[in-house]
Amino acid sequence: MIHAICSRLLGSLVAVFGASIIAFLFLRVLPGNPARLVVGPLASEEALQAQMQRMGLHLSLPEQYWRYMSDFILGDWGFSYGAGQPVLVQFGNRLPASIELGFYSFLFAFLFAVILALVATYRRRPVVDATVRAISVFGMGMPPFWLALILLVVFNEALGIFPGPGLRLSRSIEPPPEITGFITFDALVAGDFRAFANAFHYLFLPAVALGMLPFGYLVRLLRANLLDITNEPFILVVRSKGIGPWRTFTRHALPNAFIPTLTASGMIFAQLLGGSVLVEKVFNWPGIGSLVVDSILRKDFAVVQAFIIVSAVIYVLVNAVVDMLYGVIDPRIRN
Amino acid sequence: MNRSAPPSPSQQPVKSDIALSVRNLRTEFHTGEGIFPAVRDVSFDIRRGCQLGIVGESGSGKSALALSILGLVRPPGRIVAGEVRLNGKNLRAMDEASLSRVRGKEMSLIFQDPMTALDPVKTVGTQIMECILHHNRGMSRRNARKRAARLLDDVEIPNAAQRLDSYPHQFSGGMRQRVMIAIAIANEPDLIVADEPTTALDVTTQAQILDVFERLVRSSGTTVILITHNLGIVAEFCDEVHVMYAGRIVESASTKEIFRLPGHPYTESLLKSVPRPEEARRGRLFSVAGFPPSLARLPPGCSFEPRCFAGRGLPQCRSEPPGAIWAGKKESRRLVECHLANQRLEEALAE
Repeated sequence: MIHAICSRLLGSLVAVFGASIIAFLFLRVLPGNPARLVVGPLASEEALQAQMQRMGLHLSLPEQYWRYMSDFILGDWGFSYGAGQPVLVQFGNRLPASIELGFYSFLFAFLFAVILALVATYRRRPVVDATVRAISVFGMGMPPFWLALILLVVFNEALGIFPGPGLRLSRSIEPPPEITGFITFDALVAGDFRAFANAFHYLFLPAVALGMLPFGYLVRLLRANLLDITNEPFILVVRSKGIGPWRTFTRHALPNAFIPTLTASGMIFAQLLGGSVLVEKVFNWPGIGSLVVDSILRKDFAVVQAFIIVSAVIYVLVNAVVDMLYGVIDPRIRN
Repeated sequence: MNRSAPPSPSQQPVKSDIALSVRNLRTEFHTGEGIFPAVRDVSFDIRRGCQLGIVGESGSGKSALALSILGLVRPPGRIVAGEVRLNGKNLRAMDEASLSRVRGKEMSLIFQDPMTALDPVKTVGTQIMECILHHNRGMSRRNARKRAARLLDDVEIPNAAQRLDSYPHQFSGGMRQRVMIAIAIANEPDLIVADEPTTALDVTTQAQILDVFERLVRSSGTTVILITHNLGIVAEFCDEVHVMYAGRIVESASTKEIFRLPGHPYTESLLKSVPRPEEARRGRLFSVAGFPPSLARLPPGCSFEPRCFAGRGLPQCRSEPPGAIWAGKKESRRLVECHLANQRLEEALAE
């Protein structure tokens, strides 16, 4: 067990290390001098040299990498010249918004996938099953940004029951004291249910837009797994004990059907946490995805570099959690 | 054993001598390729405490019959007609809620493949206790656990109390089948349907499992339907035998009589196909010629006629489906679905 955890940890570190090298080299192989981007095309040669000194560009590549990584671990993620802010400060503002949105998208996708997969397979009605499959294909085929636009047009413009883009919380509501930056979480900690409801209201449409694709995929996966499991002899044995069909389904079929879905769910979750460019753009969501795109367009590569490392860390963490969950839900892996 | 007697309504509430009574049971599988009647209008009674063997080739409808008795036929299969009376109660007229009080309590199932018959993510103890607690509302988990441990002890699993917390994958095939038996006897049912309980096990384990099973059911007087294609197990374990072919019971008799004097040509072929050492050494194993007919396209007459050594080509066998008739005299009397049964039995007895 200890051995497994250690080798797991080592593997994770190697993955993050690899990502950091790619992020680092990415900045060096791009044409143009990063210092020149900072000082501008009209600056003198001396000013350029001084800026290169300040950015450490006169050092050898391994030295630069070492310096970058040690600074990164110590919390100095570089300076975003485009925004005039340290990168860490920018991430502190933007990352929680993306993680919160990603979390609710996943929640939406997973909950509804479980419900629809149950509905599709429980009674084995061909019509119901075909409908669920159609919904799943629709979810997978719909481009998220397009769905985002439609949701906005319908529920904000036409019906007016959901707030429009640009905010995470209504201006008329006092934001809860910031602890994590996840407004719904902070509101709950502060016991401010009005703020929670309001933030949830703002999260709803973007979460649905972002979650629809993983929802479609998970429905498909879970439905197939459930069909497989319900054909297993042990389901018949459970029924022969007198256990009703519903209990058999939820207590025996569902836990078994989750096992093969876990890896895919982890990947989807990690991806959602890393933010989404197009949906964040449509909803003008102040998340990390839109920040990274803006930074790329501004050639503000310190931000991009940090983003690559942060998303690698998110993937590694989520995968570690998934591995642990496997141990929890599948006793065959525990030993 | 009386297949022809009509079910009398008066026997309903009385705990009579008959544990299970099946009347005109018909189960069909509706697939894209047609309708497959896996069980075709089967009727029989089982005496309380009797151990009945049902034998036949793969695809003869044995398993479908077992599941039909428990009411657990799954789509695309469904029971289309007939009655199944357990202790006089018609299970076919019950709704799912009432059935769930009968299954696991008055009748239970032992499944063929112990490797896939237990939920892999639940402990063995949980799976036994689930059955106990479901039928004993108000029993504490502590008591259910004690009872589960006693059951594991009954099926001769060592360290029963500790093994309750093990998962199925930590047991061998034989041990899992013992767990299955423990689940099946958990609520002391009147009827256990065992569908090929030892087929997936090696021969030594088979014998041990059967010994345990036989000891438990004999001591409690449980009625057993043992479904198997292994005639050796039938000879050892069963009091009576039904031979199934193409969804029908084609012969029913006591085990002793059926081995002494098979009445149906199919039974005779089955018995002949049991390998004997001296024949095996000569490299000559007997097998029933041909293949079982497709259930979707049964011959118009006797369904065994195309493979029958006695009746193939006979006009009556080809055109007329044989009904069940009483054949043989005195102790060798039995029900056979064969036009030639009386004639063949007389000839055999005369020899």
